Amino acid sequence: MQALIYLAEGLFLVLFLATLREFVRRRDPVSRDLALVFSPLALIFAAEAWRAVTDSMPPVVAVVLIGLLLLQPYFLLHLVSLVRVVPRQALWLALLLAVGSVPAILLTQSLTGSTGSSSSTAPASPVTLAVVAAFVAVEGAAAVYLLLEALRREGPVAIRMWLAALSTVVFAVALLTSSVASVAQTPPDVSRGITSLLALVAGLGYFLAFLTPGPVRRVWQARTTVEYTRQLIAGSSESVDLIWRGFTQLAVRMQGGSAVMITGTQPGAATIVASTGLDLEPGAVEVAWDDLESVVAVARSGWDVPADEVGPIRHYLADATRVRFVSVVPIDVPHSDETAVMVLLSTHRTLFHSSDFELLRALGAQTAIVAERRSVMAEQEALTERLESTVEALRSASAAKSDFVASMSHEFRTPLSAILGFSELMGGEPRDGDRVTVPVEWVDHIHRGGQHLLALVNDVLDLARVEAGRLDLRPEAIEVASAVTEAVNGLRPLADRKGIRIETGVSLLTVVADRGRFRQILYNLVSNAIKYTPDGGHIRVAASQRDGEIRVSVADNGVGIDPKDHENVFEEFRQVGDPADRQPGTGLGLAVTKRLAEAHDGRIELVSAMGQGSTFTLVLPALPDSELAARPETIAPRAAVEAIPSMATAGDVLVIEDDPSAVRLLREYLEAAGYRVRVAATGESGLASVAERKPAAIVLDVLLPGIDGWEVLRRLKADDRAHDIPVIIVTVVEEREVGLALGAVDYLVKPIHRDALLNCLARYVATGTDAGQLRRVLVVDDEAAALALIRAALEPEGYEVVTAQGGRAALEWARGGQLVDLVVCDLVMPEIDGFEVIAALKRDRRTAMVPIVVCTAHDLTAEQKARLNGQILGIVAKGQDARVGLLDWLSRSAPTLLN
Amino acid sequence: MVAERVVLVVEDEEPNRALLRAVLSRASDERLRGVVLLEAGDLASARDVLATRHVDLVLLDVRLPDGNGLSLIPNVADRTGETPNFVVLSASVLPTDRAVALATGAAGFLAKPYRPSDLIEAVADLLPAEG
Repeated sequence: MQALIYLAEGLFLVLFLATLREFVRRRDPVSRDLALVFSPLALIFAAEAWRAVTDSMPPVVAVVLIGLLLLQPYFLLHLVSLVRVVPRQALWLALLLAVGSVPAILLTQSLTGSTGSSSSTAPASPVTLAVVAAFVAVEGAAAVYLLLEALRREGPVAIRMWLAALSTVVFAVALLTSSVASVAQTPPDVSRGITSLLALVAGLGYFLAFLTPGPVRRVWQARTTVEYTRQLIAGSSESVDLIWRGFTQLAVRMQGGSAVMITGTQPGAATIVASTGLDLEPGAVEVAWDDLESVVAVARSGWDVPADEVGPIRHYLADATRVRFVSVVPIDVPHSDETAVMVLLSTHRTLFHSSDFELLRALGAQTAIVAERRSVMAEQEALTERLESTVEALRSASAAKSDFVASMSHEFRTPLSAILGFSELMGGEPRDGDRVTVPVEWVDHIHRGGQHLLALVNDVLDLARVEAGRLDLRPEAIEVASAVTEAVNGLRPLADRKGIRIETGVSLLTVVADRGRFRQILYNLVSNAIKYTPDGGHIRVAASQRDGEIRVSVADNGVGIDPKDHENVFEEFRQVGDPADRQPGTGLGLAVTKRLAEAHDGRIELVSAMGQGSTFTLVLPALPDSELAARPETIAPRAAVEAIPSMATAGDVLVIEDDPSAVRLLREYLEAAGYRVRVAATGESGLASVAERKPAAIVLDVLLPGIDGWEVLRRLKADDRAHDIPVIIVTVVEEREVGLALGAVDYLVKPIHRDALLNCLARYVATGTDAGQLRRVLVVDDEAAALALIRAALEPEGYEVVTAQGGRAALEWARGGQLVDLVVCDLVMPEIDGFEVIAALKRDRRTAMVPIVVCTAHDLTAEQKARLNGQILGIVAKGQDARVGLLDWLSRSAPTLLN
Repeated sequence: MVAERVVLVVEDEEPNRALLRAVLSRASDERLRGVVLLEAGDLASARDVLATRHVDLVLLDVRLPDGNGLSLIPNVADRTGETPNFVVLSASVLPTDRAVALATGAAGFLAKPYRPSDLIEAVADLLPAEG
């Protein structure tokens, strides 16, 4: 029995020493308080041992012992306050009671005259009872607090609190028996045995609770690891936020308080991705990089760092104002430069051990891997989705293209069947000499088929050009009103046939667009309106400017278009609505129109509903007035295209064309209009014909055997007598620029429209014969003196002189659009020289016809002469004789200029 | 009395119908003498004609406003009581179109634009003999 007692006491002392060692090593309050809690009994056992050996007991020991004994509840309560909230008043009370009891006991003891006995043998006086009651009360309170904490926590921490609570009870009992034993005359051995046993048990309990030794921790950690890992795997397909949240929840379970997970996902900024115990939306709080780094630095100092030392945390987590301790767990995110940190915030110490810390780090790293995997998977899903939708889009685009080709093939073959079929039939009809008689209907079918085919070809080419970005737009300032009038006038016959009334309401507006394409769009919109409006209907064309946009709208009161078809109408080869109402047309008109509008940075808007007519609106950006002024203005084209001239003024026209069928066609057109037609099949014979007798106009093909049309044109322009003959180029080749630059007055692309040809001729031949006297001369020179000189030479002779000083002035003047009969131009001028002026004049249709005389002080090189070839009438040398020279030249030339 | 031979033209576009009319009426081929020509502009009217009249030969366009012309061919006897021969006229580009038409039961196939003489040959071959 004795041995057992000594063993138990010895072990307790070992525990006590271990606690002391912890304190010395870690210097933390927990081990300090625990040591203090053990101290009374430890001292008692030590004193017993001492007495057993030396058989004496210094009186001071007894005093100290009593003191410690009575203060023990306070120590215990203080220890508890480290791990949970204990009201300050309770602590003060406990201290007061303890402090108060000491003198009380001492007093009692001295009264009873007890001397150096190990246990206090005080009689059961009221004071003693009070002291004991106080003792029990405080111990009980401590036990209750620990119990409450145990109920609040989970897992290992809860177990530890339970242990602590129970140990408190046991310890209290141990202390009581040790004290009561002296009163109740029980055999000292028995009481000592009970005491020491109880003390040992309680001591072990406390030790396990507060200073858990490694092996026990490891067991608990192993269990936590298994449970958490299982949970992690189960939740691995959840979002990254939730995965991290689980981790913070683990941390909170382990130590209480609250936790946040911060990851730095890009350099310079970090976010709080998850939290437990705080009301934070993931990602809602951004953490500055510097702050994050300082927090991570704190991690090196271990856990349970006072919150004041980690300032940034307070700053971001304003709610957590009662945080007194912070533990920072850095997490290694594998294969990444991310910084991840978990911060534990707590009002009390976490009771962590370094192995707990390590555990959190390890589990954190695992969580990081799972989170990364999840985000990679999410990325993959997103990529797959994008890929699928791209493939789908490509597939439908490809299908659309195939549909287009199939439709196109069908569309082309239909008119072709009519043309080939009927013409073959015609060939099979019985012949009457060199003629056959055929029903008119057949002819109509062929003609219509041909027209349809031509329209198709043009539309498809337009579409192709738009697709290839080769639309070659030449934007210029266009008067909207006159363009609209032109389009409407052109289509009026069609409208009249259906009894449809067309109204226009166009204010004075200028838009910048390619002239031809603008006309094309208007034409298409108006002709569509006519097509789809029943007889007797009504169309209105209006234009306005609004919000920096020019809007030209064509409204009809036809069948209307169902809103669900609004997009389809613009598709190739689509005609929507009742198949019985199908109209003739290429099916491409709106598709081309839409693209043309878009090529001008504009769009087509459609407002329509079934039975409510349709309004198509062309919307183009309007340039601010300042920009408009800077653009070369164009005169409004003559509103009503001139009619075919009467026989009286028609002259003779030379046709230079080698293709017999084209010749026959041209001859038919021209003779029907009253012109006399001469034909030359080659350029050379054409030139000869001109020399023989000057025609009023020349219709010139480009592709000729021998010298080509360009050469013919050049030579004509170089020829004094022929340069002023209006030349109209009629060809399949599309080189309008070249033609006009070389001096042609107009350029028509085959197939020739009869009206286009005749109108063109009418313009130039008529005005040619109407030319009055050669009156107005524009003189261009950079030197004022030269200008004055020529003015002085010409004005007295009755010529009206307009001067432009310098090339720039000349160009500006040309844009102004005034007409002159002759231009006298210097060649060598600064900035814009004579060559450029001449080129500009020739480019502009209005001035292309005006004869130009070059007046220069220098001899021209052969190359310079070549440059001017075909553009000018002649060269006059400057100098003293300039006056004479010019006048002389003018008097010689004027008759021929007058035609 | 000579039983007249009836040809039904199923084609929605008037120019194409006019051409067929002209070719067939102008044909000097003996075999086409006295042929009666009927016309239908879509599947619905074609079916009506087949249900009400005896038809020996159908000249069938593929692209019709109310569906694919080929759908007229299968089980035509069940639905209309007629068993005419079908010659499909198509503005096709794909080589498979001919195969598909023949597989569906057409007796002949002509790609547009067709030569009138080819049409006449096809029709003459597939019409039952006079009398």
